[in-house]
Amino acid sequence: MNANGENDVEIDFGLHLANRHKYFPPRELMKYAGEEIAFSADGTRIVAHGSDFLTLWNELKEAGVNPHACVWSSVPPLDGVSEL
Amino acid sequence: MTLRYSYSPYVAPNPVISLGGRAERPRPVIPVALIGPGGSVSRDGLLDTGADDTVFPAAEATLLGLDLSTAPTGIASGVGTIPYPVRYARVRLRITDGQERREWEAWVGFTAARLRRPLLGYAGFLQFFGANFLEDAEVVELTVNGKYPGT
Repeated sequence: MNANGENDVEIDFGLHLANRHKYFPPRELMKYAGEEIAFSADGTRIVAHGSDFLTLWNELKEAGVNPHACVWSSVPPLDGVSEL
Repeated sequence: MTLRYSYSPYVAPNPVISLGGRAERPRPVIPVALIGPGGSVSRDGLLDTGADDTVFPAAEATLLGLDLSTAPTGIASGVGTIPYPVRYARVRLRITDGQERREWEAWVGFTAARLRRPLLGYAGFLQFFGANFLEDAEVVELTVNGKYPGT
């Protein structure tokens, strides 16, 4: 942590990605299509998911979970739309 | 030293015709932390050589402790979409692949327009790296260049 204390959590993205790819293959993430996901810092768990990033952020805070210690990701909807 | 990331595969609802019927689309999506006076937010962003700027959702600016009310403003547009305002702020960005860690300060755009995911574009991100997109291996390598201002 730095001067921002618990609001700046430095996450080891290397470990995070290794675990995320291991525990959450693409087919698994299909369940969350169109949603925002908060992954745990170590990438082994989905801490929260839902349609709105800010709502999830505030829900985590209220539940005593530090949202700064999560890695946030948007799972694209399964609409077959090519991204340009 | 080089940061190395595997592409992230995203399941397609139907076989992707343009990829010979493949079931997934691989994309160079990597996690990045934005750091402001109020803290950090770690989030996936798309390395996008076609994006002029690095752009994140405006909702994150507040969480970073940024006041965008007097921030410089620009206009941006995606392919086939209407222009939308972008407000710019100086923030720190941090990336690591577990082997190498980089942190620098740059201009980042924030927009209320709906983004599929944050864009890691030229200004603020790719301008500071040599980016080697190894499409056969579905890997991207980032090597800091002479413009890199950080640590």
